[in-house]
Amino acid sequence: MKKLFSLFAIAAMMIGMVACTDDDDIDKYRTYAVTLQLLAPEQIPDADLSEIEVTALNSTGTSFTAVTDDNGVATFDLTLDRYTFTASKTMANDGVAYAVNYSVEAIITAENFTAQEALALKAEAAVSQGSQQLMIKEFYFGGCQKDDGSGLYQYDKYVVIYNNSPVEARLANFGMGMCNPSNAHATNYNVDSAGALVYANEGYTPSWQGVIFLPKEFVLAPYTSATVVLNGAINHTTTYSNSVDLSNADYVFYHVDGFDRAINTSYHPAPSETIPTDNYFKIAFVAQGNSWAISNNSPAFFIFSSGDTAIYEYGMNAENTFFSPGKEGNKVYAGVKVKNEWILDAVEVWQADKLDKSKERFASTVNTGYVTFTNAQGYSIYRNVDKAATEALPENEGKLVYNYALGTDSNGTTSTDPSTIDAEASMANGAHIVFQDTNNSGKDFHQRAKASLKK
Amino acid sequence: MSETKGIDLRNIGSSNIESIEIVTGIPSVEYGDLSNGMVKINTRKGHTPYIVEFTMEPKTKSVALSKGFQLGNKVGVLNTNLEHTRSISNLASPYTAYSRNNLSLTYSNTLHDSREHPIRFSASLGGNFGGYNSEADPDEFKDTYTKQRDYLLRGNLKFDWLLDRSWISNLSLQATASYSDRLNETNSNKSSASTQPYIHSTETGYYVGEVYDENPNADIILGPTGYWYLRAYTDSKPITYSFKAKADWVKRWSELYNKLLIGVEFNGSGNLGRGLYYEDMRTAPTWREYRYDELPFMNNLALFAEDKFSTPIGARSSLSLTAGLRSDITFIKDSEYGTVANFSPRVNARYVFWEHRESVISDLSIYGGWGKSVKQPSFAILYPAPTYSDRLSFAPGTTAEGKTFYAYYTQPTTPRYNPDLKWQYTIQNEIGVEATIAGTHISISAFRNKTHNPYTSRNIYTPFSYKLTTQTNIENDCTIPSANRIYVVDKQTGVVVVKDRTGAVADQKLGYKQLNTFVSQSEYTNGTAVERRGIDYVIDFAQIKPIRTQIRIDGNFYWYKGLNDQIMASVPSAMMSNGQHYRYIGYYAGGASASNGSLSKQANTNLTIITHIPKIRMIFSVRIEASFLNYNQHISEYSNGQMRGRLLADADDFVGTDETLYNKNSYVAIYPEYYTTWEEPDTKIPFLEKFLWAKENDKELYNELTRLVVKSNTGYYFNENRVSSYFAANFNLTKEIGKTASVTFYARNFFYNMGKVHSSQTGLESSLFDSGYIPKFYYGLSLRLKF
Repeated sequence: MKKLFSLFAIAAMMIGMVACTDDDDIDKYRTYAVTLQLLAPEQIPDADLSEIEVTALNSTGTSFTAVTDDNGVATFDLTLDRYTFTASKTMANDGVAYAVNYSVEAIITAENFTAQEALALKAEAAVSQGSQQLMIKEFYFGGCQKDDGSGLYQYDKYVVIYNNSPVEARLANFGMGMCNPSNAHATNYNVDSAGALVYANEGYTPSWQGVIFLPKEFVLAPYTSATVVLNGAINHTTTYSNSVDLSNADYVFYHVDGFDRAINTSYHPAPSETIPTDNYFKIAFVAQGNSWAISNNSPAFFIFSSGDTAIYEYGMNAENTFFSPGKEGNKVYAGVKVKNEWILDAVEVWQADKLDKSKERFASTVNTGYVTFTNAQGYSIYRNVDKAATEALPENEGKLVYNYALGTDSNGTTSTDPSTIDAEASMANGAHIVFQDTNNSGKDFHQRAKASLKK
Repeated sequence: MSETKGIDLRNIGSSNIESIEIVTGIPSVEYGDLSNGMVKINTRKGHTPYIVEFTMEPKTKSVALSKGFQLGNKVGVLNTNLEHTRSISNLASPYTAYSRNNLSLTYSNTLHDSREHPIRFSASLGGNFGGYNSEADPDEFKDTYTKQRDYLLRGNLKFDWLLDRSWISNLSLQATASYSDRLNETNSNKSSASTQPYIHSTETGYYVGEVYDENPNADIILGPTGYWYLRAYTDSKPITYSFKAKADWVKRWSELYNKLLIGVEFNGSGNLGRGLYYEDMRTAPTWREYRYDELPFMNNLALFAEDKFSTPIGARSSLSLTAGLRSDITFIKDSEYGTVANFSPRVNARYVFWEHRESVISDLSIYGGWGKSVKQPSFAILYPAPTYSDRLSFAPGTTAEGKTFYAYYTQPTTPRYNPDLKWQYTIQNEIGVEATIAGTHISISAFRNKTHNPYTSRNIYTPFSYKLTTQTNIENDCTIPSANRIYVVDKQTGVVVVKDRTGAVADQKLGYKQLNTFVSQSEYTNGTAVERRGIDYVIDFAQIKPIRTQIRIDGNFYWYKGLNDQIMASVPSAMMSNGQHYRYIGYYAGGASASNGSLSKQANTNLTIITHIPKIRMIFSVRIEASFLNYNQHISEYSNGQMRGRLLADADDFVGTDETLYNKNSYVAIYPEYYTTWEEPDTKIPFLEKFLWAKENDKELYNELTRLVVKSNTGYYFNENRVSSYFAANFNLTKEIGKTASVTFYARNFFYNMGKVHSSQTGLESSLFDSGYIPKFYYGLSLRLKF
């Protein structure tokens, strides 16, 4: 009986000792509040830092996640350990998409909590090279044949803008311009005696006659297109079966009292009444005339975003008016100086049978190369797909359509998309296409047999 | 085409010409304003053999037959002429040809009165039918063409009665009339995907487009969509008539001679055509009817009197004096200018030192003259045509059927009547000397003409405002579905009201934007005087008998200066930074252009060599025309010689320095003298001082005022332009073959001069080919048969 009692006593003592000696062991399971404040990147001072998933990885490989609140703060309840916090998000500002990454290592010890309840950590953003979100996906300006065989019909021009990034694009001041001479092979008064462009190193590109712009913020969802009609946003196919039906376009350039004289109702007919008027692009016009006439065979066209600068006031300011050298008194040669850093995308087109007379109209920092084009056949200029980047997107699995057959044979040279991906068909399937942008019009575009808006 | 009258030179036959007279200098009062000279063509009269002429040039082929028949003893002579000419404008497309078929008959006879004094009488009737038709041209698009018919009927009666009485020596009467029918018809193919507004409104007001089928008489018709053909006609039937009577009284007292001439001339012109019109109003584009047959005739009555007196002085010399006065009275019914009259006096004197004297200088005479000739204002000034300005006032969206109901605000304006308009007149001064030295005839004359009050026009701007209603106003103020809408625009106020076709919803009034701008009206006025001076000379060398060659050198030196510094208003075509139309009017001395005048000098010399070779019955002639001085300078000055405008250091500048503008190879800025605003059109604000102030103190105003600054287009604009010397040679060869034929070959610019000339203004060289400095190269062959 005495032996049993001793055993019980020793066991109780052992239990008691075990329970008393492991003070630290009890603290091992205690969790502490840790907040991680994501800091906005320099390039995007007012970035939206909410709802970003932050992952905390501990020393044993277990990860915990928390989502940031409206202020970009993620709150964790963590045990004392060493952690690596990571977060990443693609953010956009002013038309540029950045891959933003956060990575912070922290060792959480008891000392961190002596003075305060929670540990506040901050994470600096590491920003990748920005890539332009918006680009010209398609440019249809060459017109088509009239049904009665009497020649070219060209009042159906349009351009399609595409958001090439996974983030929504929002631009406060979005505009478009074109260079002079409007036809690449016409006499170019903007070159000096050595043949170099006079504005090559001046940091701007003159937009001939003026610039068109959207008076409100331009918004475009990721991987989607918006059509901007440059002539008549009406159904042209009722008279010209080779043309396109533009009566349901997203945007149209129509500024009734934007020119110094009555608007040309043939070149700019009133848009279809189904298009809301706040989707009308306006013009800051500095030349003389009644229309903004884009070449039908070899234009040099670009889109730009001026950040916070209001485009109309900028364009109408005489200090920003450019005149071709030797034509300073002549309004026919007037243009608006658009800063090169504003230019999002540019395309240079040359007429197929006049390549030897054509000259480049963009500075090499904006665009190099040219795409060859034959007009009056209903062809358009369409961007090539970036095969590697598109196939790499996981959501495109099984949705991509290959065997692209809409290239053309123009003057003996075949022009088609080297990626062989049929972008329009793939997008109809739900795929997210990433287009190629090397700032070289010859490599980035091909001549498409049919306008993409043509059914 | 807005021509209402005038002869088309294409329907004057080029065969049947007996002689050509060129009248220059100070003419007799028998002729009106001849400050530019006159060419008088005399057709063949009298008994002539059969003459057949064939002419072939690269673009023109013509055949003519003429004969003067003697109709028996004392019955008279009948001259007939038939000509057919076909000329093409484009060698590659022989279907675009103009053809002319000319027939003229002239009967002439000399009758005698009771005292056996002759009465020369001629009556002629001629006509032309011809035209142009491109229907057969295979290069034209299917069913499109241009057709033109050109018919002319011309009659002439002339009496010359040598009365030889004590109170009258000669009486001459002449009457002419011509009627032409020119109808131009074009058929062109059209297509459109959008309805275009076809504006026909003629009264001030707002008008909305309507569908043709609902209202064929609408002021604005919505054009069709699809494909169609448009047929347009221009019908012009000019008619002219004139009657002239002159009598002279010649008196001789031994060696003295006096001739007094008085005369009256009446002529009138008008047009019985319909002007431009369209076959189908459904497709007629923006157009207002302007019927020529509703315009009044322009009639002119001229009275003239001239006395010529000559007397011998000493043994060999003689002096003759001529003095004359002419009055022209022009009237057009309902012209605001009423009846326009003037007086043009002329005086001429000629002193012959000697004639046919046997010495080295065998003839010598000098002459001089002074004359004033007045140019009456033209029909366009006395009875101006209205012009219409149409401003877009309503631009709704296009419906699903493709219709757009545009509305416009129309304002008709006619050039404003100017009660202070003075008639343009030219004072001509001339002196000259003629001499024959060793058989060579020399004549040198100098002239100085000053044209006062040259007609010019300027614009008057009146501020006004109009309403613009857009699709945005429809989005905000209209709930009626598009298919049920009827748009009504108030003609006076321009407010747009939308009515519901079904009557379910009440009328809805749309909002609008008020736009302020100017309406411009032109006014004919007088500019600053223009001066011309020159020296002409002709040296006809005596024939070099051994080689039967005549050499002639002629030439001229010419100087011209003209500038206008009258204040003229101009509004630049520009928009303001606030989106409104430009609200300032600039008032410029001599107009809103870099230069307000020019100075030019020319010196030309021509050498003509004519050689006869009777042995081979050939005559050939070479004429070399050379230009040694061709000088031109754009001017920007006030009448007192002060510079108008400032020199810019840099093309981008707006403010320049006050120094001479010429030959600096720099850009020039021209400023208005003063400017006014839309709100206060009567307050004149001096421009330059306000501009310089705004540059430092009010950037926004400075930016807007820069649009009033006119700059020269190039840096070399005000450099003097001296074109280096150039020449061209014309060649003519005539050979008689047998008794009946003679062949002429001619070539203009036969060296085909492709040399270069240097222009001192730009420093560039340009080719003479197709330059306008020398005639274009062409050649031709003509064959004449006489039997």
